[in-house]
Amino acid sequence: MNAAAHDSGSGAAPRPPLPRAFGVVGFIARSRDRLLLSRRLARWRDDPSPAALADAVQTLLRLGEVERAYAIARQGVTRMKGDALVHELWRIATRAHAEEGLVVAKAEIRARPSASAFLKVARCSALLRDSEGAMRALEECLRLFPTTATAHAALAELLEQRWHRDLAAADGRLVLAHFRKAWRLDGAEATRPMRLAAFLARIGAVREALTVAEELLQLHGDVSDARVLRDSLAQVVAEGLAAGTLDATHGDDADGLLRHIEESGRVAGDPGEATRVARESARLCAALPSIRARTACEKVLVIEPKGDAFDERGPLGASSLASLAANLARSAQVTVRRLDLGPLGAVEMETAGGTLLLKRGQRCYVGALFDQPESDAAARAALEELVAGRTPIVASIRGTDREARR
Amino acid sequence: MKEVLQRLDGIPGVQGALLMTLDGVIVASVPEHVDHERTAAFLSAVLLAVEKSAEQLGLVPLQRLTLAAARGRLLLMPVGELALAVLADGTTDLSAALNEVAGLTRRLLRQSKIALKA
Repeated sequence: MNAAAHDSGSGAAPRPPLPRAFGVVGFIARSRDRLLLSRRLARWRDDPSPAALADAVQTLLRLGEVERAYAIARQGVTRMKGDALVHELWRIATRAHAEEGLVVAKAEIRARPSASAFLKVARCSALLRDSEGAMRALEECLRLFPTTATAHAALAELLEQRWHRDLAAADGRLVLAHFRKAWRLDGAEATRPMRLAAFLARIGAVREALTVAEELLQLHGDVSDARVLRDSLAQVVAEGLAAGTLDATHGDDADGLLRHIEESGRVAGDPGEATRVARESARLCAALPSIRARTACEKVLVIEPKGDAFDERGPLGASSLASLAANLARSAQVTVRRLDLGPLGAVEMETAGGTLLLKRGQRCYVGALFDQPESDAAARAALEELVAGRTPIVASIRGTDREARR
Repeated sequence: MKEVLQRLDGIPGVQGALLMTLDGVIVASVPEHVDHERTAAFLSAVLLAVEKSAEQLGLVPLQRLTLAAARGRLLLMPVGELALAVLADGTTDLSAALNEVAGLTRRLLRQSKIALKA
């Protein structure tokens, strides 16, 4: 007897369809939650503990009372900052709050578009880690309300994050333009010129950064951070001029510096850059065994922006593969930059003897050499997942060990 | 040669195509108003940069080189003693068109060699 016949032929009353059954269970659970809510809220009020907070927040979330759940989770994180459970509850409540806020703000835009509704969509999208969605909302906001300084500043910040990831000159130019517009539209806000000056300094346009810091101090003489920034930039400029690293006859060419950064794939002189590269390289190297296992491709490696090659065991010495991968990455990067094609994403060299595939992450490249045409698609998918951070790490390489092996 | 390249020029997503010698000298290119010299020079530099180590690894002969960037793709395919390069968007599948143009170019090259011998 098959399962269906067994179900219908047993003489028992037929079961309700599954969705209806779930609906009944949900109703019972909600009724139970509603009955217990006041007791759980009282427990949190009278005897605050992570467990009491978890009960209260989860009950409220199940009942769809997101705003109250968010408020209570906020109380919890203020009172018990160091607790992991409280932190997790805060994360869950914030996410639910952002999801609800997004729905409300989108409805508001449909009913009556306003700059504040677009900003709300952007804020909620950013909280939900959808930075592309946030950028789209801000761009739309600026199309309809081009003088919204907050939208210019928020868009500049998101573009700055993306610039840090991709180092695309086009993004860098937009960061500068939006911070400048935000400052021009609202001169009372000092953080925007501070961010503008910091970004200019990061790309190496220290004299332009100094000019911004000085202008800022003329408007807001009381901003101590601006004074600190101005003094340190003045020192960098003076040292640069004395050492001849800065051309005294010409000003900074921010656009040229951005193009150079995109082409070289790194921000020279940025103290965080070496750490960023090392962290990315270590993450990619640790995932190489997974790539080998998935693609049956033995020759996989990571190329850092300076051309050094690594695998999960440490640095690879001079080899034809390392040299080929580094030269190919470097010359391809220069080529696409000079042809104005934007940041390089991937290089594929197909030959009769095999295929070399290079995929760019943020700063580093992952390379795979495979000689079986049938592993082509698998290798491409595996590298795609790896640079997107979706490959499980099977071995971990600690920074210190890796540094020692260099 | 230009007529052969015109076949690629009409494909949506293709921004330009050229036939060049492996050291970067342009034999034919489309569309005419675009300056292809930089493309040819840079592609030839890429080939030069990887030639030696590719040979050492047995990665010869080259069948296709693809550089994929944020705002487009650059494809290079050796055709006899020449190379066919195409600048295209990031999505259009050009395999069939490239093979057709490469085949036609090879035939033209053979014919011109026969004509020279005669």
